[in-house]
Amino acid sequence: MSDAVFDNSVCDDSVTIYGTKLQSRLLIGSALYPSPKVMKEAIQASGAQVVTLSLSRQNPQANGGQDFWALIQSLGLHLLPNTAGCHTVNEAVNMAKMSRELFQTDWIKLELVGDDYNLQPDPIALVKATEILIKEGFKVLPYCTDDLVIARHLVDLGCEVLMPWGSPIGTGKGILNPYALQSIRDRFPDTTIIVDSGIGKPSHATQALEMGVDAILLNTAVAHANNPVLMAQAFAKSIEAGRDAYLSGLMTERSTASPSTPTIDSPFWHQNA
Amino acid sequence: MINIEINTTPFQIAKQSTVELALTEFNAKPPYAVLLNEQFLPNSLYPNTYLTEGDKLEVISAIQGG
Repeated sequence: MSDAVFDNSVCDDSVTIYGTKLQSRLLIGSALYPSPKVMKEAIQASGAQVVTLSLSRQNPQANGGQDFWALIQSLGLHLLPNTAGCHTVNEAVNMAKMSRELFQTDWIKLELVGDDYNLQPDPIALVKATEILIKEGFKVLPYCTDDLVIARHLVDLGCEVLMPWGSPIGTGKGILNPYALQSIRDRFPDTTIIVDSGIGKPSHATQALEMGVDAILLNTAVAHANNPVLMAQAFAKSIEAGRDAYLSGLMTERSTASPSTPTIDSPFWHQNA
Repeated sequence: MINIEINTTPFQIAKQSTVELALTEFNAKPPYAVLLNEQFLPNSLYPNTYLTEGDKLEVISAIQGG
């Protein structure tokens, strides 16, 4: 056996979002949990350092969302507001501006629905809105499909983060097109790639991290589990496993079998057999 | 009085009212952001933006999101 020493102390294996270094590669949503208490416990169990949230018309009779806001603030995490539900550039830009004022962050998870059937992002509107928002000083995290050319446009505009889907929001189908996602990873080695939707189970997340994806954004898969807190822990472990596997270097896949046990001089072995 | 809408509901308010006054009468709970006729209105402009007949004000606050 070789006594070669491997450096397992990957001290600064952080993921970077517009200059902010994060130790956790899991970003988590705040929606769909069975209760605020479970939401808080699941988010904490996930180890996530970024939580997503959104905006809605206020109902003063329902306390104006102040309870939710207080709970989110108590977590002490980075806030990533989204523009969920926006269908036009104007809607998305205005929602981003409201989010920046309200949440005091330049980060915006830019979502622009192009089709209500699968909530597929509108690539043309996405690029237009991204251009406007970057000029206004936003740090845009665009939710996009796995289309390489749209990714190219977004990076050219100045996006330091891309959030391609694995599959449509809330479907849990995992990574439907590994080739396309791998192409984005390989083509933009200096861009932070976060798979934003479609992750349904921890093995999907591991697969993405093994491919070199930088991080995962989760919501439904955790919130809709029978035990969201336990599922949050499972995802945290799966993401860590996938990242370690990527850093370790995966073996090359082969089409023919190759014995792992040495065969020479094994019982019944014959030189000319 | 003039007729406006706040969060899609009809609302009556005195002529020459500012957005700041409308928010107080609506009992808006901070923190919030505001759209006036579907355009973002920075909070610094609430005191000197005057409402007119038919204006649509939206008071927006934080909710859960993915």
